[in-house]
Amino acid sequence: MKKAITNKFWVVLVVMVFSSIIDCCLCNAAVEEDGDIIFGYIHEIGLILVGLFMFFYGFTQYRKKRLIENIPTSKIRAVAMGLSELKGKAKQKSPLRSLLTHKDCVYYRFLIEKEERRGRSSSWKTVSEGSSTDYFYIEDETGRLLVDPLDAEIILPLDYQYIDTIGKFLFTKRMRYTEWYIQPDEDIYVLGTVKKIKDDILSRKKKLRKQLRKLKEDKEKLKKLNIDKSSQISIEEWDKVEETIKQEIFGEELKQPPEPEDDIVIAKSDIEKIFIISDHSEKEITKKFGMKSVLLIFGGCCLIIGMLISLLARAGLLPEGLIIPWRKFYR
Amino acid sequence: MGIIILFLGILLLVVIGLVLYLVSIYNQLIHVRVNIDKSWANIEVLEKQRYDEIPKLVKVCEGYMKYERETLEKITLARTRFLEAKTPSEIARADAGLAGALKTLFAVAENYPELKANENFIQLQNRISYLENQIADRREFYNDSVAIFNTRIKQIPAVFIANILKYTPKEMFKVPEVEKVSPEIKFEFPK
Repeated sequence: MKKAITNKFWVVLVVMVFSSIIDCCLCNAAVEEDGDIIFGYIHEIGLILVGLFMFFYGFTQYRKKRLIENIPTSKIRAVAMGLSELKGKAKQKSPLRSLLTHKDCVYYRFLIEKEERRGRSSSWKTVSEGSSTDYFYIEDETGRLLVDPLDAEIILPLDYQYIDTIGKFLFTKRMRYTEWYIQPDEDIYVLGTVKKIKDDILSRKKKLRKQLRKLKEDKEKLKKLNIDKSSQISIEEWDKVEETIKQEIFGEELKQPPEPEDDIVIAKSDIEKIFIISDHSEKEITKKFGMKSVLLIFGGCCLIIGMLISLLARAGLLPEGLIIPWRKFYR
Repeated sequence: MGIIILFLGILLLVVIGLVLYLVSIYNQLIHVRVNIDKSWANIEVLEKQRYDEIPKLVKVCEGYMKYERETLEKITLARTRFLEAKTPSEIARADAGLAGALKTLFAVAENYPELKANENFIQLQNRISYLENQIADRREFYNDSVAIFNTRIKQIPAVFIANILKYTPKEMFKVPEVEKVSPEIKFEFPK
């Protein structure tokens, strides 16, 4: 809730700043009576904001790179609760086949796109996309641990892509099918939060409360509990009932003991947002994040500086030759 | 005027970038430092669990190993020493003593078929062995954390911030010589 309010605040702030800058520019443009100026200002200010986003986003990628480098790899047998890095082989928990290629896998992601043509140019529009959410295991020489891939940042190379042409003559339409998957026994890297899959104490309390509520609603049973046949059930009698139900719950649990490895899971946490699953090596992942952060930071800087030069030139503070002619790009 | 604004804009960008970079280095150093403390605490959690299992093990063994009082006393003594240890090096030494005494006990137990068949003993032996393996893994993790920390604080530009924070290299967990040597096993049969 608090996060949503903070996000809204930033959106409102950016919109306010953006609109006030446009207002200033419009005033200036009105004086000069030149539609190109408004058009130019909008582009330049917009791209400066994009540049700023790239610049800051680049630093978050750099943080991720460093985080991966700074966390040593844990052995699954001795993994501790909290943020952990694991390396091992992917193993299925239950049979799973990818949606497009029907490959045996532990995880898949697919994307179906449709080609859209506008004059000479064309672009791909997403028709459908999705990914599997089935749990799977990561196994090393010491044991195995459950992985919940929900909301993970998946870094995988493209495994399948096929372009199909539908229709005949002038009415042809192109569709693109793309798929990524992790196959069983593939080496994987996981960085995420290790946590209890369920809290035993909490779940027992819930069960107890449910049973007690049921009991309170059943008047016949309540009568039976009133051992001394007094007008009310005494505290001692109630305690005895509670203890009996507790024992019943324990008995049920013992009858169906959970698999020990299913006790904990590596997943995304509410506190630590980082959760990466990849079939690349740790070195390759850090290299990817490093490259991405450098490109974003320097790309963002160049974009900001370039747009600032054009903006200042448009405002008459720098030579006119430095103005970017945006209209030309639309012709 | 335009040149000045452009220059100020670039300067502002550079300053923001530099501040963000320094902040990220500072955060990194804090993170690797906290990692060491956390990994040490994680070892202690398992050591405590193993420590709690020992009285149960001694109790089970007492009934069968009447003639191994010395071995059992060694374990109790090692456990007490472990409890008294405060610093990491003291803990490492006490832990080595305890691990050695346990190895001796399990080796001597081979000589008592009834004890070896006892379900409680088997369970405790498995549990302690499992805990020992977990402790060994976590020590490895601790050493990895220390290695990362020691490398980071020597790298440029982190070294400058590390100097300001007065960060010095941390000591790794070294296996004491006692633990490297196989335990001495004496069988004391009644005459």
